[in-house]
Amino acid sequence: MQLYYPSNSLLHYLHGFTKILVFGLLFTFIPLFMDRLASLAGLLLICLALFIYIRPSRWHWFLLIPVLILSFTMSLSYFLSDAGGTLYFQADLGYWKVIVSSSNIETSLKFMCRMLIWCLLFFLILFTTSNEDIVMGLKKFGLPEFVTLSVSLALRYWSLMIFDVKTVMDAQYVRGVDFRSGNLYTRSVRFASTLVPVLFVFLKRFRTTSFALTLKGAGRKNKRTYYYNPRINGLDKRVILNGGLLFAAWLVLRCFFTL
Amino acid sequence: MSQMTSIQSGLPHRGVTARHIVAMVISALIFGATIYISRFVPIKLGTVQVLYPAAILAPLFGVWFGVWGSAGLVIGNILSMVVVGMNPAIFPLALLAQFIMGFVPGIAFRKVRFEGTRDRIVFIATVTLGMMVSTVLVALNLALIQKIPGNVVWGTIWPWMQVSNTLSAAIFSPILFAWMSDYMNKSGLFFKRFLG
Amino acid sequence: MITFDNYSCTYSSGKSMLHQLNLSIRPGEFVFVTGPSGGGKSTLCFSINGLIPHETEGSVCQGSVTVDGNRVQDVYPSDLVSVVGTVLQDPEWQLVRGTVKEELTFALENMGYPTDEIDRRLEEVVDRVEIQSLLLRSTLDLSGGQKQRVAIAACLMTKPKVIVLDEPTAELDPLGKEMVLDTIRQLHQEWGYTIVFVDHNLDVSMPYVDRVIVVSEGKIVADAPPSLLYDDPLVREWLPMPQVVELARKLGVKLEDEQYGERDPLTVEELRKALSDRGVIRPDPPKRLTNHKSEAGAVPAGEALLELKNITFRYRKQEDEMTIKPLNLRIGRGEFAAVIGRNGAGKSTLCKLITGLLKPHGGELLIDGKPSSELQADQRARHIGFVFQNPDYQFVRRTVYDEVAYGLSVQKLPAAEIDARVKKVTKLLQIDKYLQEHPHFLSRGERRRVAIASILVMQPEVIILDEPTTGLDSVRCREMMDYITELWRQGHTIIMLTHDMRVVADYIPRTIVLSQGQIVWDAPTREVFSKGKELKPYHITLPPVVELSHIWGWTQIALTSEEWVETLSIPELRETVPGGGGVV
Repeated sequence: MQLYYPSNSLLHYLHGFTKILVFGLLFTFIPLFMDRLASLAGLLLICLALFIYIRPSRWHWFLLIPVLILSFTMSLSYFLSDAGGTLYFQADLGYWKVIVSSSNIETSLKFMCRMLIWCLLFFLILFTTSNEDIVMGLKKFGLPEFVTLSVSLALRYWSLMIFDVKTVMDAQYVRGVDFRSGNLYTRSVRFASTLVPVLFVFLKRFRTTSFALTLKGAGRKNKRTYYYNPRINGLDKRVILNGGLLFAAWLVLRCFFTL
Repeated sequence: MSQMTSIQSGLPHRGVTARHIVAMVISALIFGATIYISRFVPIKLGTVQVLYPAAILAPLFGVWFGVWGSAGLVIGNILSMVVVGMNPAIFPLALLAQFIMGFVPGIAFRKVRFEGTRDRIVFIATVTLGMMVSTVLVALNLALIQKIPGNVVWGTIWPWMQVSNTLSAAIFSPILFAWMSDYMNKSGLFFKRFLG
Repeated sequence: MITFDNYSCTYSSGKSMLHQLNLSIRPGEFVFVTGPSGGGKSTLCFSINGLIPHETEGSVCQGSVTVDGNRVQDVYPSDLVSVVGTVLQDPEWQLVRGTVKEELTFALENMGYPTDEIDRRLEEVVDRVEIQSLLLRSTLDLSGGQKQRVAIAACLMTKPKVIVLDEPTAELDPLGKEMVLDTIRQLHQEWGYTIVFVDHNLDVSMPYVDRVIVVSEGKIVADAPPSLLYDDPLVREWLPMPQVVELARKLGVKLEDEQYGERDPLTVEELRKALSDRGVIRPDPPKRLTNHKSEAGAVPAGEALLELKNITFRYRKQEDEMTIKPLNLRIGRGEFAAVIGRNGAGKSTLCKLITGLLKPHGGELLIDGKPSSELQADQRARHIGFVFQNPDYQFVRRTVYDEVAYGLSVQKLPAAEIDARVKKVTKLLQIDKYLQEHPHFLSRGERRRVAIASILVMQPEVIILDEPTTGLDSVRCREMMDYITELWRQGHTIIMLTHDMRVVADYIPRTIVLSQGQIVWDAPTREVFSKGKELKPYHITLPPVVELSHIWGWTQIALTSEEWVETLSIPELRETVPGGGGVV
């Protein structure tokens, strides 16, 4: 899995730890303390500006499409409860009631904004940080070596696995199993049938990777060296400080105002 | 110089070895990919998927690879979030739920195959228990962090998860487990102890 | 350097893998280990690096293996990395890091070496293995050969005394194989490493190794220098000869040697010299040759079963260049054609277009006279069957019977018909005794046959096989090709993608050479192989008989050992070679 692309934005120069802390945690929690749609929309615009600033490619922009679809479909569940406000539409479906009211729409929009903010912040990290730097960033949070190694292996093998899944589907297709036709049940059964060869293929890989890791000294008891070990520099420190201050300031302001 | 005629097996494993790491990675990849594919079924309840076939796999990794398989489920779920831009930091309880899906059956059932009806019953019971606990955690995540109204969470989403997760796992996990048992048994990949 | 002392190894299933092995390998030796699949070659490798018994669940051993003074059974494999370096078969999954540089430094990081020492070794190894240009690249973007070279370089970083290579070229194309073999030769000749190299392909490696060990059924059945290996009648039974040795022995030709007296020639050049010593300098070309195995069906006589008219295709990522440039191809009913060419030439893409896995951007594909776009997946499967290189991708059932029947059950055929067809096909491919076995537990060759059966059972008019002989030992390879030839004789149309030119020469009448998405040649195999040096740019390594035919300037080349021997079994040779024409 490789979402990272090299560029010269400021974010590209930050340490993985800084980006995870500031964008993945501090700024991620701020929307939880935002109650007004205007505040969320403002933050969304800031995130969007930052997203444009890192100059994503057309392909990276396309990744926002599933995010939009996901956040929209997720937000629909808010129409199953009565949040009050002006009622525009109501349908009684027995156990469920679909209610479209001004408050429901607002709550739903707030949720969408939150989801989009979280996704944009996360993309800021993923697009500007190599897998190696993400793993080093996680390491700085004190995660044990075997966890960071597992994460980096999973990241490396993700695209290989997608390729394998596709090959399994191809192998079934040439035997007459069409994934593009039939009703939902037929398609689901056909998809499910690919699970078995996928499981087998992967479990067979188990031995190779396990042996390879052992033969490269993984699991030794001695202290490990980190050949690539970027330092937290002055820029990182300033970003962390400002991010922390912003977060704290928002929490303080929220005690006095509805934001 | 003929020596050592006694039979010798491998030295005892010390700490976390490559096998444990790879068990996590394999679980993460298969579980993560299954969630990733099913994420594109565009029917959601809150942030919960209406169809969650990954729930069928989760108990298997717990049973096959113990705590390592269960930990792999968490990494797999994070991976599936990462590729669609969802931030795992806002799903802490949901991530714990993935672990529980593997952990409960994994710690309670440590056999590579069903040896009788009792085994099947124990397996289904532990899978059901694990799923119920995990769905409670997912529901709490929705209510507390995503701020989805309580009546929607407990009146609609949680009951639906009993169908999409608990019931489907209770039915299909034992079938898949039995299906794979020959292979797991002969390949020697099964972790006899929960901690590996 | 390596000593096996009364060493036996057994798996928990009770299967004995090695029996009371006694073996000693000297420092700096290049040992080639070969033998039939499942005979114990990999077990031998894993007993040297400690994966057996420490990492292979359920394995137990007796006796001892000592490497550079370390008793392997008493040391964890991760603590043995500075003594034994290992390269595994799968180029993709043995690389565990994101970039080449990370891969190279990983082992030393785990061993806790200081960064300046890692830097020093990195510089040295990168220089030696000549992978400077790859250093910052993602390991996912490398070719198979490059990946194995990186795996070898990663081994060298720990400065091991011994390098064990377990079929490192099994999954590579000829270019990749050449790349890896060059590096291995260098390791031995220039830097003096002790090398244990497990492989099936004796043809290429034989001239360079010091010793060949043949392992079969857990025992060493032969241990000799390569040029004396086939003096042992038992080896001749166990192990098919490389073509050069086969030719020399069929003609009774030997080379004089100071050390061994008389020995087998190992290269084409040596064979030419040996013949030249016997006065066969430039024999006359054969007057008329017919390849008994294949040429009868060389001409596309039947009506066109597959017709590609100006087909083009481009992958989304490649914006500038077409993967398949306007391409025209006609395959007649009952033909047997090989599609050859280097990796990336467009062979797989072409097959995916034919099978419907990819849709052409332009042109028309006719299957049995009908446009392919009108056919649904199940209809297409009745016309065209595609057997993947790795059969594991297609197995979905728990028994061989169910697996072979799966495609028919998708077509909802009556149970009685399914049963009859399954039994017929499995009998033909001689897998009927495994009907109730789990397909994943069969050997590689048997799994391939199950995969072929599962396609064949659907009675497609065309069967496309992707590298069906890769990774098989010579005996299994011949068996597989005999099965495929039998299918062809029964009237099936067969298209085979392969890198094995000896298989093409021995069995396949028509050859299509692809390069950069275009057909360069499409003609009878003899005509294509007559191009000689013109084939070099396409990384096609000709079999020794063809090479010799070219050296001697024959216009009519020989394709098989039989043809060649027949031509040379001429009176002059019989007179000059004492006991000439002796058949092994």
